[in-house]
Amino acid sequence: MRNNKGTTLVEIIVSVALISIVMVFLVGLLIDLRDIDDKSLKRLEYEEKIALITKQFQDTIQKYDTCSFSVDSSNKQLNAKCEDFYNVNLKCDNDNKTCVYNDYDNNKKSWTFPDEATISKIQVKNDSDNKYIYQYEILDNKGNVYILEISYINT
Amino acid sequence: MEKKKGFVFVETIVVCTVLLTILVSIYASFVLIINTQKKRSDYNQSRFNYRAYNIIKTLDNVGCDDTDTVDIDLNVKELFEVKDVLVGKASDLREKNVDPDFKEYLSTIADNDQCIYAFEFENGDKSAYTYVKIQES
Repeated sequence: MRNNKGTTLVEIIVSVALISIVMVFLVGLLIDLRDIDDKSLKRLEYEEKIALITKQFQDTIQKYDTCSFSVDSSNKQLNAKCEDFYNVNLKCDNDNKTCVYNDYDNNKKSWTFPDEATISKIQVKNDSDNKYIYQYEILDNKGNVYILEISYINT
Repeated sequence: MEKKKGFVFVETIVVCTVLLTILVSIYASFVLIINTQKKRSDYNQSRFNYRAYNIIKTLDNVGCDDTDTVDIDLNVKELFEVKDVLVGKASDLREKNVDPDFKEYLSTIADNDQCIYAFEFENGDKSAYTYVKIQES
């Protein structure tokens, strides 16, 4: 009697082919997931820091009805003077990847971005007619652009 | 005696079809989740929150009483890149005839009975959305 145990070559080839098709999709999916997870963590780090810096500066100046703004000669430091006495400034420097906040009450805070970040100089979107918008652009090494914006309207 | 070797072709096709159907449904769900998350990254960004707060400072009447339109100075609207502004309770705003993406954003606001200003800003080639709660006196 013929022994029918084991698998034929055709069965093996077909099984391998089927598994390969499934694995191509699965591995592609896993690579996409890992890539997205990686990007999300980095994005979160940048966005969190920017939100904290924005909140610190904005919460201070929004207590006052009138503020005047100026930018230093290096275009790295934003100065605000509220009600003609309360000085607040924010300096973001690409050399040390740090943003530093100082105010009239000698509160000083700093935030450091990852080494691969690129912090641009201040871009003045508007500084006339009692309406102010200043922006720093911060780039990561994946080409994502994050905007740190200070906006204010004198009332 | 009948000899049976190898796979039946029909069985092979059925297995392939079932596996591929499962994979396609998983991938479709995955793509849907990723696209939803990408949209949500444009919601409630801090810089637009403060833009909205600054704009509300310039308004004469702030509140939901007898107001369903918002008059913003054109200069402010252009400078701060405002596309649309709504005022009212979140539950009422969802019934309004607005951009579908704006409506989708409004559906994420949890406080149904709170008076809010909901903003749509230009953000490059996309839109950014935010809202500000109003304390009614």
